[in-house]
Amino acid sequence: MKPGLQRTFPRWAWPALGLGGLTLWFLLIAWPLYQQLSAQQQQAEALQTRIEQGVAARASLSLLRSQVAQLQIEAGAFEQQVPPLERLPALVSQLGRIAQQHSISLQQLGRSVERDSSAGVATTRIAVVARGKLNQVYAFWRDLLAQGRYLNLDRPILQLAGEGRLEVRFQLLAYSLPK
Amino acid sequence: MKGTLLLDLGPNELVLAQRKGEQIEVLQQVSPGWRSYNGRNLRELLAPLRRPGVAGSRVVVGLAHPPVELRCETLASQIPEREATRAILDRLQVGPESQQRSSKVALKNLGGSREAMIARVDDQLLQALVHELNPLGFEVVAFRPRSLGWWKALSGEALWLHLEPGAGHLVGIVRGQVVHFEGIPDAVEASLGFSLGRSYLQPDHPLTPRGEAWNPIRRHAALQEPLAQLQQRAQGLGQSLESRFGLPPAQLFFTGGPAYWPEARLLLGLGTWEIATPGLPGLEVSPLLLAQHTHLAGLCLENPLEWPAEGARNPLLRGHRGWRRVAGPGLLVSLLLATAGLSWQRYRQQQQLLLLEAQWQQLIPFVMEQEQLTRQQAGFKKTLEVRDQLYAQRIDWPYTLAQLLARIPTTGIRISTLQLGPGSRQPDLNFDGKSPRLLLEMAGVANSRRDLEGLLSRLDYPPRYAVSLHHSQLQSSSTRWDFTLSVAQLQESR
Repeated sequence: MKPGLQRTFPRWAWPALGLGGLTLWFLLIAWPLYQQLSAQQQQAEALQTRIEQGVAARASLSLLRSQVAQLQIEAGAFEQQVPPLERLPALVSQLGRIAQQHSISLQQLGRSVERDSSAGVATTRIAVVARGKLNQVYAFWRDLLAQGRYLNLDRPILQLAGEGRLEVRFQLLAYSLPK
Repeated sequence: MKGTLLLDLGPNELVLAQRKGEQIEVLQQVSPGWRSYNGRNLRELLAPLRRPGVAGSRVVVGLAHPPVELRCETLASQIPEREATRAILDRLQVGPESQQRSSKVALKNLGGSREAMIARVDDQLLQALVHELNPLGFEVVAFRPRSLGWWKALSGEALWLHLEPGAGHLVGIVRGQVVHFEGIPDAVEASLGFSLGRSYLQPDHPLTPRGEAWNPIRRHAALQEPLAQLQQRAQGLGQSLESRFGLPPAQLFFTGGPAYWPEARLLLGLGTWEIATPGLPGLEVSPLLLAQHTHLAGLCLENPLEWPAEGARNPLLRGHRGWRRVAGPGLLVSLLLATAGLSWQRYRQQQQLLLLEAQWQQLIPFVMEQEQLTRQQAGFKKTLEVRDQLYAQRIDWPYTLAQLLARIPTTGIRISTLQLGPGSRQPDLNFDGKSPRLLLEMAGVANSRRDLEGLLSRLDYPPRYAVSLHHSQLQSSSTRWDFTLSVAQLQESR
């Protein structure tokens, strides 16, 4: 460098140039690189978490498969017992057939509009008034409930009807799975 | 300039002088010179500066250009801790004949060029000077006559005097022209060859005698013509010097010019005078003492104010601007290293990301299957929850009816109405804080009060059942009792 140039170049220019270069380096190179590093670090951590979940999933798959298979069997058995549809005609026909088998005279059948509190299933309520002897009523109810778990009795009322017979009022509940 | 001091660092003696008007006053003279420089002699030399009345602002230092082996010796004496330098020092002790070979070996061992070696010695000398003089308020200005750049800088404005009594010659720059004054006529030839062949000219300069460092340069055939031309110019210079200062004409020798110094735009002149200096043997001519007895000093120091104020910027003083020399490259290297480090880290992270991504891709099917199975599991569990809830509500009414009827006595009690249902139909009933699960409401007639009590005792069979008698009344004109009662089955009983 020529001495003349040295003379006109202020001393503070060197630190200023250094500081400016350092600032430019930081803004243009270091900070973007640091940002990229941070983003990559976050991606790596997220991927690591996913991989750990994946490894855990792979390890638990066999047990989960067996559990689901068992649940599927149980749920399938239940769904087989509980018809998917209301099937009201078949229900009435079934009710009449069982009553006839036990010499129970059906006096009145009516569909109740009362809301049912059972969650997850659709319920068909049929109000039944029938007459018969106590042992006949007992056998009638037993056969009715033996048809399946989708049938149930509710609010049975027994009253003397003369001649050793009972007037029985109850509601027949028929469950079906909603679509 | 008030307080301008001259410092001559000769190989045999160190001289500190102060200009007073047209004269130079020697303040201190120390022998030996930098041949045996050890720091103490330098401090002794500079001792007058600590006295009152000598304070100034500038010390002018003339750096000699002795043979490189002497420089090596100086270097070795200053940094004896270096093994290589010790080796140089040892070899330099064996004698003048082997010094050249030793110095070459030493230079080779030190791994530096001759120029770099001399610069290092100069730097160390100057650093020592600055270290001593700066606290006293002096600015150190140094010149190295080998530096053509300095000659350029001084051209036309600077006046400079440099003397080398140890080498037997004297070199000066007068208004941009270099003048070599020789005080020993018998040694002129050797001194010329010494100066030109070994110091002034670069090893690869076409005028440098190859392999003949001590060959008198003026005998070189290629130099005859330029020497003659320059001799004429120097004669003119000598005449002008004589006319101005009254110096007697002397034999002049010219050793170069613009055509032979490609870097320099100076007219170089070499002159030799026989100088009659009373009491001073020729070989011991000191530049400052010489200046005391001649008018040359007045010429050379005619206008020191015109000297470039380059003390702090002198390249030879870069050791004191080391932070600047180191800071720039150091900062640059640091930034490059930091950038490289960050880039490398980013590259490593990218590779790691790719690896993790590949691992994740392999695991995706398992995760998807797990999610699917989990959804199926939730669906099945919901279905089974419905089932369990449904089954929990289911009451085996025939069995319950048979159990209750079995508790009713076959005699003495006539049941008119029997109603069964969940206990929730009468939530006001409370049996010891437990809500009933099954409620049997019964109405009938007992033949006697004893029969009614018997019915109650048979039905009330805790903890499975709890009986609540709502109403009992004796019929008129009869012993029969009408009654209504409730039977509750507690929650935990089933």
